Amino acid sequence: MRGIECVMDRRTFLFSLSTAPLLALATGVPAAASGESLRIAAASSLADAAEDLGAAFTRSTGIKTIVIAASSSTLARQIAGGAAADVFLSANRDWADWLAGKGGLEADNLAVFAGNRLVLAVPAGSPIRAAALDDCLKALKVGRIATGDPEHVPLGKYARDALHGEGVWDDVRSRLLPADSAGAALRLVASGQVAAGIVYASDAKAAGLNVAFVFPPADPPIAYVAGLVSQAPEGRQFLEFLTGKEGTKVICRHGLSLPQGQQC
Amino acid sequence: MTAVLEVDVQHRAGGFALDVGASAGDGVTALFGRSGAGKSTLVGMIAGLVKPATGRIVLNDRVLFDSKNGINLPAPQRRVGVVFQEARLFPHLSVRRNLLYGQWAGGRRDAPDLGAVCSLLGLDAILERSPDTLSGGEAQRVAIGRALLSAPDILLLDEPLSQLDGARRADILPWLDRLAHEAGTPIVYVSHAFDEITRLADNLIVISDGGVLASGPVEEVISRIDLGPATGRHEAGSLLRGEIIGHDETYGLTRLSLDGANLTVPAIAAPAGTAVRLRIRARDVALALEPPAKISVRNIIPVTIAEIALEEGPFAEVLTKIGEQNLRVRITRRSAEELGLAPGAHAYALIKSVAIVRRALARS
Amino acid sequence: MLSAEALSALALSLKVAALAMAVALPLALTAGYGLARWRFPGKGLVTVLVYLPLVLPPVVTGYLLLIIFGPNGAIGRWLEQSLGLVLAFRWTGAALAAGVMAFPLLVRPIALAFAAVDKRLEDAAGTLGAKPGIVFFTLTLPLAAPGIFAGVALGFAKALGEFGATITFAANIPGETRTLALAVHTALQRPDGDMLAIGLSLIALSVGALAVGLSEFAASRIRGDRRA
Repeated sequence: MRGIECVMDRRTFLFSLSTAPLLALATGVPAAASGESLRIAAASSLADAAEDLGAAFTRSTGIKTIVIAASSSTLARQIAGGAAADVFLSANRDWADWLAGKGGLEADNLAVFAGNRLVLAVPAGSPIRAAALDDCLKALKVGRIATGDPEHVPLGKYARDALHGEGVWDDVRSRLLPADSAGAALRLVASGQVAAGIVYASDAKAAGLNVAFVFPPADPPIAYVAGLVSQAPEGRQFLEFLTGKEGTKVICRHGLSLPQGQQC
Repeated sequence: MTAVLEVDVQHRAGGFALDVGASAGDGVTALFGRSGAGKSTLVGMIAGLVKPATGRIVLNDRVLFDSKNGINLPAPQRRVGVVFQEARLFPHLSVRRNLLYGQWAGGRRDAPDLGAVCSLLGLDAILERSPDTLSGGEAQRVAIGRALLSAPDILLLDEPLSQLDGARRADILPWLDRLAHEAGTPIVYVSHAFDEITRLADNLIVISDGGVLASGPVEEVISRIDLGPATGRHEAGSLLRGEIIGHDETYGLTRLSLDGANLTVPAIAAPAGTAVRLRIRARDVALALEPPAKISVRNIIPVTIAEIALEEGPFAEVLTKIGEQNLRVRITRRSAEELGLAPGAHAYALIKSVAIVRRALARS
Repeated sequence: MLSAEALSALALSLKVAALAMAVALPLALTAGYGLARWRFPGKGLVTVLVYLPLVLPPVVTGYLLLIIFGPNGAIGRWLEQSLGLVLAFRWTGAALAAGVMAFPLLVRPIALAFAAVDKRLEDAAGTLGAKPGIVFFTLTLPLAAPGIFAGVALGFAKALGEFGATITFAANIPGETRTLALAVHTALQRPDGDMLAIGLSLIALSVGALAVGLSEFAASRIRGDRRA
């Protein structure tokens, strides 16, 4: 408390401590989150990658990190509601734009830093082999297909677009099992609760699932967007790290692709 | 008496042992004893609500319970009607539905007519009422009617008046009287109230400390000297049977014949030939060796001394006989000695006060 | 407010809650009666099992249902193979989840109601010739009815609003398992779902209040009839 006393008296300190969060909510841009660790709100399909990125960042800069992983939709709404975060890694542009529109993200500092592909994955032990999409769907008969909820989860929206593209959306939509996040959809497939799921290629690889069909690259492509939530300079540092050499190495290692023009 | 119910049971519960062998026939058999003597447990055993440790219970040649042969008929099959201390009417049913429960839920098709039972117990006015609107006496009458309408082979009344106050009890006793006479079903009446028993019972079984102390016709058992502690000293007296032989209109008196002896009592409104039950308290009788003259007491009866029991205090109990009937007399020890009373001796009983306990006794 | 989505969620909620009650009630009557009247070895364990859904986090209950009744569960697999019955991710599964969660709330008032019935009345009924089954239906059950109604009200309201176990076991499939509570949850995830969420919440509130009100009315009628 000594150092603080030099700058301001105790009462003023406590007063500003209590009003800072209120001010932050009022301006819509939260003040530096915990002051200790860099808080990274990451889409659920980035959970593992974000942990590794955080660890590498700490090794490189000495700044500690905390990763909070959930569906981009859930995170965006929580941050808009005042949840503390420094960096937001969204699985699609829409949620990043939405949060920026609410004043929760710096609008002119959004960076696309990774991409992905969609696959139709099946649990281990499934009799379904790699084939054309129609054949796979026929083989699944009445089994449910897990994916993100197309109403709000990026994975779900990408899946809907992909199925539209293949001309089978109307047939398949009633068979979907909408999950609250990409991670939840993945777990449903991995545990064998559903016959198949449309998940990210990176997730399927990480979970060791068999891939029955690989969807053609999305157009517009699947884009992971990073943005700054708080004013903390460490956040800016992290964004640079993310798009730099070390960051891209981690991204590639987890089965994600890099944005236009870059190869893993 | 042809036995309708035969009971021989042994049981142990809560530090209390029961070993009862008794039987009941037609008419009213009273089960008398202090509270806690085991009477209610016995009722429970006969009804099938309590299982005796060992024993045998037979009703009308049907075996209800036999521990040796592993027979234990469930209550619904026993045809034993029970009236409990608390009426136990079903609160969600009307009086009528309660009364007919044995028929519509118990499947007893051979039941007496509802109208007859209602007349017998005065239930017509309350048939459509709800049980929680009835007085204690009304509820008990409904309970009796309900038990009767389940066509039982025997009716057990377990201290049915013990939860009623004096006025209610006085109200319902006449109904019980009618029940005893007109129902036609054998009745076992459990009570620790002496006045109920002297009024209603034909036979009496005295229970004490979990065992039978005495049983037999009520007049005999009541007059037994050795039952003092069980029956209550101050009530000591005798029950006698007499017959009305005539009335004295002028003086408002009635003459009774008692095994050859004649008694004069305040007028009884019943015709000649009616059998009545009398109760004579032992302390209302004096003894003389010769019939005294010029004395106000009108009832001077020749008796024979049967037994003398000297007590520790000043009193002595003398059992005398009028013909075949017993008359208990309470005098001082000193008088007994001075008069030189001994069994077999003849004397005269001076009876000052006679209570008519029951008119129109059934002829035995 | 009463969009097709909201109506679908409402209809589904009512369907699910009704089935849940229809199956849970006879079981709860048995369990309530057994806990109130019978003595048997392992009664403590049964009591714990009955009240477990009340103390476990709903998601844990849903997870346990998934393990047992899910496509890979022992009972779930047997049901599919021998009866062709699949519960996971179906409205029948939602009914199972709702029924399990509502079960303790049914059993407790029912057990209390049965325990409150004077056994001496049942003894008297027996002496009048009524066999135990008849005594139950003509005496015990009518006397326990107000308490049973109270249990049904609680249970129905719980089944109607069940979330954690439902979303875990039956998932959140629109038109199939997206009950009112799940629909509110989904609306809250959407960028612009606040109005829908409020509308759905009001519907859930109204239906719940109606259910409780009806039950109380029925119970008081039964009590009142006796005072005729």
